[in-house]
Amino acid sequence: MGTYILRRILWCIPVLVSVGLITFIISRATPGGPFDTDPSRPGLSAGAVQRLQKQFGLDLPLWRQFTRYMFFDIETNTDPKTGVTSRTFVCGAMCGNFGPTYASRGSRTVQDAIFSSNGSKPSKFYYSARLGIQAVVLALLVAIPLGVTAALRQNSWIDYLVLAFSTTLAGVPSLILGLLLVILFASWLGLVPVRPDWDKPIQPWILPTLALAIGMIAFLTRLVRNSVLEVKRQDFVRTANAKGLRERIIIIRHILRNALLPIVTVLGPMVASVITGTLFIERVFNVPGMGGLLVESIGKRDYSMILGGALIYTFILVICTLIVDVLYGVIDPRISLK
Amino acid sequence: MATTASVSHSVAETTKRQERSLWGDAMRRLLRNKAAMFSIGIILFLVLVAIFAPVLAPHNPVTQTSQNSLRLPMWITDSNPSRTGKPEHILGTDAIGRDIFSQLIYGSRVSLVVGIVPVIITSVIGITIGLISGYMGGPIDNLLMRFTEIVYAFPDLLFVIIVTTAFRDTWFGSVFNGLFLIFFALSLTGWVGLARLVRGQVLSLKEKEFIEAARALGVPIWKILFSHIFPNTLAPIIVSIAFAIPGYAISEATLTFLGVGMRPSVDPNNPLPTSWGVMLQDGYTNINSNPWMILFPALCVAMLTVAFTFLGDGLRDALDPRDT
Repeated sequence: MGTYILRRILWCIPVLVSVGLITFIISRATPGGPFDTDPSRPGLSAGAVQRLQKQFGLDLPLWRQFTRYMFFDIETNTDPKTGVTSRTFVCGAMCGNFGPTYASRGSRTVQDAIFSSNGSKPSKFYYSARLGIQAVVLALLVAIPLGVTAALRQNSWIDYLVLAFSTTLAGVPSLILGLLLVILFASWLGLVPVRPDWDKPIQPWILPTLALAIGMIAFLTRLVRNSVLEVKRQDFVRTANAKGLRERIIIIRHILRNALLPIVTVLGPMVASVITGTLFIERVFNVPGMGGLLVESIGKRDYSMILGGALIYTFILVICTLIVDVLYGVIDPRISLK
Repeated sequence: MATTASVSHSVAETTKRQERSLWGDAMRRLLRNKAAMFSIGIILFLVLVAIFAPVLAPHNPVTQTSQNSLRLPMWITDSNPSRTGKPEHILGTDAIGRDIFSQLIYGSRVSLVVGIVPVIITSVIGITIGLISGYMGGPIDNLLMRFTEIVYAFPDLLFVIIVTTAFRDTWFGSVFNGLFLIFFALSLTGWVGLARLVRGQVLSLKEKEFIEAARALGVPIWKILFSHIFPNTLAPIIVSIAFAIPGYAISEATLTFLGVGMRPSVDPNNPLPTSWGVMLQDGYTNINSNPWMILFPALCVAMLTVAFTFLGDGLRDALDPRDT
C-alpha cells in the first residue's frame, strides 16, 4: 500500500513536466508575443519591450526558459557600478512559483493572481474550488438516495420517473443546461439577475452549482440504481433477509456498502469533468474564478499564466485521481493495490 | 439455410453478414429499442436538414436586413412594433437582422460535420495504434500507455482551448472559418481513449485459440490484426463512437462560445456559414434583449446530444446484452 502510493506520487512528476512541456511548446510556437509593439497596443517603446523581455527571461535560449520556469535557474547579475557579479537562485514551478504574469507587466505573480484574495474579495481559486466542490457534493447527496430509491422499488412509477429523468439529462451538456437555467430563471422568471452579483452570499451560487451538478446527478443516479439492483440479487443479501435483519440495516450495511463502490471509481473522471466544466460555466455565470482568468489570459498570450494555469489544473486533477484510487483500495479491501 | 439465404439478398456484403449472426441479433435488439429508434429518427432528420439546408431555409443566413434587428419569434407581440414577430421570420432575427430559423438550419451542418470528421480521424489513428500496441506489446505498448496516462491527466478541454487559441492567427487557423483547427485540436487528444479501449480488447483476444490457430497457419500479422482481431473489437468501438460524436459537437459549441472556435462567415455563398456554437455566443451577448436567440440553438444542441446518447445507450444494450 505504502509503495503503491509512493509510486503513484512519483509518477505525477513526469506527468506534470510533460504537461508543462507541451503547453510551453504550444504557447511559444504561436505567432506574436505578450509585449509585441503593434499599433493596437500603444504605450510600449522598443526599449521597454527589450527590458520586459529581459526581465521575464524571454531573451534566454528556449530550453533554459523552460527549465527556468519548470525547475529553477541561477541568475547571474553584474552590478553596472561596482562590476561585482552575484548569483541568485530562482526556484520555478516545482516550488509553487509560476513567475510573474505578463499582463500585470511583472507586478503580480501567477500564484498571487490565482490564490491571493483580491482586497475584500476571495481569491479566484476560492470561487472555482467552491463551485466544483458544491456541485460534486450536491450531486452525491441527490443521486445516491434517488438511485437507491429507484432500485429498491424497481419498475414502480418512481423508478420510471427517475430513469426517464436521468437518461434524458445525462445527454444534455452542462453548458447548455447552464444557458437554459439562465434563460428560465433570469430572463423569463426574473428570479435572479442575468449577470449575477458575486458579492452576495448565496444567491449567485445557486444556478452555476445546479448547472454543473444536474448532469452528474443524472449520470450517478443511473449508476447507483444499476449497482444496487445488482447487489440486491446477491446471496449475502438473501442470507441477511433470511436471518430476519431489519430492512434498514440490510440496505445500509449490506447493500449500500457494496453498491457504492463503483461510484468511487467514477469520482475521478467526474472531478475531471467538473474541473473542465468550470471553465465555461464560469463564463456563462460571470464567475470571477480561475477558469475565466485562464480563458482571458490565453487570448492575451500571457504565457506564464497559460502555463501556470494548465499546470495548476493538471495538478489538481492528478491529486484528485490519486486520492480516488487510494480511497478505492481503502474502502474495498478485496482490491489489491500494486 | 433458407432463411439466411433470403436475408443475404437484401444486404450488400453477403459473405460477411452470414458469418455474423451476432450482428443480426444486435440489430433486432436495437430495432426493438424505442428510444434508440426515436433517436435514429431525429439524427436522420438532422442529416436531411443539413443536406437540404439551401432548400429549407427561407432566408440566406448571412444576408442582413436593416430595420429588422432582434425581432422576437412570430408568435410574440411586443409593445415595440419593430420587435414584434413577423411571419417571415418564424423564430425572429438576430442583432443585425439575420433570420434565426435559417441560421439554425445551416448551423446543423457544422454540428454534424464537427461531430463526424474528428471521429473518422480519431478512429483511424486510435484503432491502428490500439491494435498494434495491444498485439505487439513490449516497448511500443509501454510508450503508448505512458503517453495515454499523460493525456488523461491533462484536462482535455483545456488542451483543446490552448491549441485553438495558439494557432488561431496562423494560416491554418482560418481554413474553413477555423473549423479545420477545431478538427485538428480535437483529433490530437481524441484518439487516445479509443486506442486504450482497442488495446484492452486485443490483449484478451490475442490469447484466444482462433488467433493461435491463425498464427500457426502462418497468416501474416497485418492480416491477423485486421481480419481476425479487428472485427471482434468492433462492438465496443461502435458504442464509443456513438458517444464521441455528440462529444465533439458539444466541444465545437463550447469552444465557439468561449470565443476560440469557429468564426462566422460573411460570405452569402459559404456552405458552412454559421454554427449553433456561433449562435450561442451571439445569443449570449444579446441575452437581455432577446433570450429567444440563445434558446433555440441551445435546444438544438441538446436535441443532437440527447439523440446520440440514446443511440449510444441503445447500441450498448444491443451489442452487449450482459451489461444492462
